[in-house]
Order: sequence, then C-alpha cells, then structure tokens
Amino acid sequence: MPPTSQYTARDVLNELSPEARKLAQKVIQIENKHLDVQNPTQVVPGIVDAVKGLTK
Amino acid sequence: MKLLKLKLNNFRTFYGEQVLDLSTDDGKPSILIFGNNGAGKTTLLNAFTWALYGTFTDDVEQQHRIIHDKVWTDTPFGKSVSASVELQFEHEGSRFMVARDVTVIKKKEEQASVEPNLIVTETKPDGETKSGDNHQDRIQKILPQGLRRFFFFNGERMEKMLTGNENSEEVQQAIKTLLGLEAIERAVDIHLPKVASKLSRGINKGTSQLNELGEQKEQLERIKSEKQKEIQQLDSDIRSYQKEVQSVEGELRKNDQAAPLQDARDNLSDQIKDAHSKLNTLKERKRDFIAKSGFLAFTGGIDQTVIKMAEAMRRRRELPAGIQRSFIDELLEDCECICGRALVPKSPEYEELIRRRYNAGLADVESRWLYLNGQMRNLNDERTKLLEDLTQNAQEEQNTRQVIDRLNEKRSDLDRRLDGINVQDVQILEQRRKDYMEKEKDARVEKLHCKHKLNELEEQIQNTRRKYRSAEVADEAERKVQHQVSLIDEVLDAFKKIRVLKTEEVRQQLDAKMKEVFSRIFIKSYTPELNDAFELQLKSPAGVAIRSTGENQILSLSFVGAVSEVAKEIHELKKHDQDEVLGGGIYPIVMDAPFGNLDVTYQEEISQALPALTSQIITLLSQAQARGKVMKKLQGSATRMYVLHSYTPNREAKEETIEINNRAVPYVSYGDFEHTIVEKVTV
Repeated sequence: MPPTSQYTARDVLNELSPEARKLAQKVIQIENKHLDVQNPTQVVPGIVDAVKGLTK
Repeated sequence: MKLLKLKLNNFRTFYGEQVLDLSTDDGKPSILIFGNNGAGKTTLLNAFTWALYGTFTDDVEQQHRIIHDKVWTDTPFGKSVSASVELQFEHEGSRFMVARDVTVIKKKEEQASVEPNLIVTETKPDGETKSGDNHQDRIQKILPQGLRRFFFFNGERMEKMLTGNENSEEVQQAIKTLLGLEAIERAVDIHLPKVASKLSRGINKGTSQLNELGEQKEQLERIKSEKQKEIQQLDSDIRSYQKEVQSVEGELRKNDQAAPLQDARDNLSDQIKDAHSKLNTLKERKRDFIAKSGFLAFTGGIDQTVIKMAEAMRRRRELPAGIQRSFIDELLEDCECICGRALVPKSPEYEELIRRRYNAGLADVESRWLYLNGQMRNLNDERTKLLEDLTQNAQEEQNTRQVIDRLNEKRSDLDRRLDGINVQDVQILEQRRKDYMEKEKDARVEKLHCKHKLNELEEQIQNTRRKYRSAEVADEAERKVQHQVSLIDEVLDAFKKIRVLKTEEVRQQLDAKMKEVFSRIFIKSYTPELNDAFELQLKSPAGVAIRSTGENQILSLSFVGAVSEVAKEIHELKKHDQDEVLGGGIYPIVMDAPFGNLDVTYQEEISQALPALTSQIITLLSQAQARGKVMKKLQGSATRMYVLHSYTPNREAKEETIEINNRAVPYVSYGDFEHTIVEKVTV
C-alpha cells in the first residue's frame, strides 16, 4: 500500500461539501450499476434525479 | 471470482461429458491438469474463455468446429446435434452458472460457423435464482473481456502479453477496468458533463447570462468530446501503422540479402530507443534539480550581503535573543522584581540584575549569529553543487544526443543500403516501410496538436464554469440550476483528481508488487519497472535491458501476479471502507504451459512462485514440463490433479503413461477414434 502521508482520494472526498460528497457516492453507485452496458440510457437521468433530490 | 466446476459436452476434442471440479482447499490453490501434445490443453484453456466470451484465441485452428468430430460424423442429416461448455463459479457471494452451447440441425458434411447460445444464472446467498436477458453484459461486469489476457493465458505466448508498442495504453485501460476506475472515467468523460448540460437546459430559454454561459459550456464540451474521439482514432491509426512496419520488417528478415541489414537496423533501433530513454531520464533529472534547488541560482551575492548585515547587527546586539537588556532595564527602573519583591539598590538581588544586564542576550546573539552564518555559507555550497550537477547533467545530455545522432546516421546508412538492394521485392517492402513510418510520424504530430487543443479547451471550459458559478441570476429557478450545476462541477473536479491519484497509487502498488514477485523468480540483478506511462521496462545496471523471450515471460508472469494481488488487496480494502471508490476483486489464473520455453532453473523457481500468485490457479502442462523438483513443488500446492487421457486409433503411435505419485497413469491409449477424456488422479 502507498504511504499514508500522500494526498489521497479520501482527502479529495473529505474536501467536498456535504452535498457534493453525497452526490459523488450516488454517482459512483449509478455508474457501477450500469457499467456493463455500453451506452446506458439511465445514468444521466439517474444523476439528474440525484442532484435534484439533494438540492430540494 | 472463484472457479468451481467446468463441464464439457462434446466440445471439440473432448468426447461426451467431461467434468472438472475446480474448487480448491485453503493453502492448496492449484489444480494441475496434465496432457500430451494435442490432448486438448489449449482447447481446455479456450473452453473457459469460450464459455465466458464466446471466442477462441488466435492460435486455435478450425474455430468453427465446436462439436466433436466423431459426434458430428455420427449424426444423421436432418438431426439435431450439440456441444456445450458450462462454467460454474462464485462471485461476491453469489453462485453463477454460465452455459454456452451450439445446437444445430446437420445439413452439410462440414460444420459451419454457428452463433452460440448463452445462459447465465445467478443464485444469490439467500437462494434466490435469477437469469435476466443481458447475459453477456453480466459476464462483462464480473470479468471484462479486456482482462482475459491477464487471467487466461498461454505461457508460451506470454512474452507477447506485454510487448509491442500498443501495450502500455491497453495495460493502463485494462487495469483501470479491473480496479473499478472505469466508473469514474465514464462519469468524468461522458455523464457528468451531460448532466450539467441537461440541468442548464432546464432554465427558461432567454437571453439571461446564465443561459448563455450554459450554452457556451455545452458547445465547448461537444468540441472537447470530438477532439477526444479524434485522439482515440489517431492512437488506433498509430498502432496499425506500427503493426504494418513490424510486418514489413518481418518480411525483410525472410530475404537473404536484406536479413542481415534488417537485423543490424533492429539492433540500432533498440540502441536508439535506449539512448532516448537515457536522455529522458537526464531531462527529468534536470527538471528535478531545478524544481528542488533552482532558486539557489538567484541567491548569488544575497548571502554575502546577509552575512555582512548580520555581522553588523550582531555587533549592535540587534539580533533576536532570549532575555533582552531592555527587559532588565525596566525591572531596575521600576525597582520591582518579576516575582513582585522590591529591588533595593545595592542589595544582592539588585547587583545580580546589574551583572546579568551586562551579559543579557549575548549567548543567544552568538548562537543565532553562528546559525545564520552557517546557513548562508551552506547556501553558497549548495549553489556551487547545483551548478556542478547541472553542468554534469548538461554534459551527459550532450553526449547522449551525440550518441543518438551517430546511431541515427548509422541507421540512415542501413536504410540506404537496404534501398540499394537490387531486388524488386526488397525495394517494394522498403518503400512500404517508409510510407508507414511517415504516416505514423504525421499521426503523432497530429495527436500532439490535438492534445494541445484539448488543453486549451479544458482551460476555456474551466473559465466558463467559473463565470457560470458567479453569474447573476434572474430568478429563483435560475439560482437553483446554478447551484445544481455548481454541485456537478464540484464532483467532476474531485473525480478528475481522484482519477489521477488512484491511477498513480495503483501504478505504484503494481510496480512494488511486480518487483517483489520478479525478484523471487529471476536470478539476474535486473529490476522491472512500471513507469509513469504504464510502460513495462526491465532495468539492468547499464540501463534499459534488452529483454530475451524468457525474460519477457518472467516479466509478464510477475506482472500477472502483481495485478492479481493488487486487485485482491483493493477488494479487501473496499470491504472495510464504504467510501473507497475502487473495485478490485479476487480472480483465478488459468494458464497453459506455465514455463513457456524457460530452462529448468526458472521452471523450478516459477513452480515455487505460482501458488503464491493468487488464491486459485489452474495449470495445464505436459509431462515434459512436470519432472523432478518441478513436479514435486507443483504437487505440493495442488488440491486436485487431472490427466487429459488421449485416445488414438493410430496403432503406430506409442501408448504412454505419466508418472504421478509413483504411479503410471494412462496418458495416451489406443481407441476407436481420436478423442480425449478427463480423468481424476489421486493427489
């Protein structure tokens, strides 16, 4: 494993606003769910819904 | 992914139903499968990938003949006949059954190419079974086809796994897929910009600033996406031009007159490549010197001035010191000690303070002065060293450039001599080579241009995004959209950073792991390196080593082991950290002829190293590859062993046995027709 003193992906996530952090997790979930489809049609609407849900 | 069972039914050389139990016990990760040449080891390796992806490797001949010859011949015209492979495995708690089959009504004497059927069934831990429509997609999600070369491969061709100019990008892409970075890639490159555009379009059409900026951004994203596609196309063009050049050079090697010159040219090209690699290292070192100590070049004279100033300040006792004289003066003036007692003139306390007043600060001034003086003199030494380092580096750079020039001259001379061979075929080949090299050069220049343009576009997009965030909004609806788009931008930026960080992190992990595996197997003092561009190199004390076939095989094996171990580590990490963005996983390795053409020393080392590579390893090998210590080491880690028992009607062939556990196991026997059956051997 790389040394922990390096700037890590976790540091990047920690620097996000709480809303953005929730959105980042949601985006990864949606992308992973549709990763097996070449041109998925449900990813963009899924993320749009997630953003709208977070910014009500 | 843990393999459990492989079931073959009339699949190519395998007659009838043949079943292999692939499950392994703890500490014994191997399944050994022995087979004579032609018994079906390569077919068995391909049975795994055919079941999963429906394709064979290029070295499999007559790929349309899926059904066993005897079964096909015995089937009357108009009757149905089939062959299948069923693979069972466990993945993330679920049990999968992948069944691929071809079923045809026989209409002709010869088998024709048929599209196979595929069914994937998943049984979840709670017993629920499902079998959807997108079977191939499901497999793709578990083990993407691009990764098969890391987990299902032939040791004899392993050295090609990581050679060739195109390998670094493919390796990089395959690793990203394996480790789950693909989700972030897709979000960054495709989906999040689309989401931002879609949200922006939600604003009422009008002439508001926000609306205009949204459209501007969308337009820039569109151009950026086109440029990215252009670069991809150029990469593919470059790869195909390189292949053409290699193929022409191969043809030249077949010509008696051209072959020695082509060999000499290959040799020079390798030397030029090494010299360029050295030049890049020197350039990198220069950048490093300048980044770390470049400022010293601008401090000439300043240190002398500082020393003089400090000297004057020391004389005036103005340098910072622990207890200042002014502080003691105040105490004497107020006639009150720091503890609150009265200070009576001429009293012992008063006299002590007078005495201390004289020395106050002197020791500290001295020590500060010495420190500062030392620092400044050190600066001078450092500057002198920097100058020496840079001069030496420049000299080495110049020498390397001269070497490159000389080698290029020699190569041009060889080009001319090859041109001058008065054989029409050679001249045509040489001209084709030149044409493709020219095309490759043009494509590289064009790619560079596109990349430059892409950077400019990225900058423009960032600017527009900044303006978008601070633009005035006309109403509440606009304010909301502005906030939503800003949120998307925030995630987009974070993902871009994570992509860079994770790629580098994984590269470092792979590099370290590969070094570890390689040193366990390889006896020379060479070190493998996965560089920043994901190119695999083997370094010798003299620079980049020119790799032999055997060294390439060990390098590839080390890399496969490293990929497998790192994927496993990341998978473990993910189990304990919900935030972890990577995927990883546990994967088996299935390899035919694990030792390739290596000599016995390396065979022994590899047979020792194989079980440590991953938690499950299926090894296919011939009797010649499993003797003495090698066999002993392999057996030590095996849960199960099988023999591919060949039957042949050829009475001139010799019947053979293979010795396993001091027992002669039938290996080649006489039979009515050519076929193979799988037989389990007691471990």
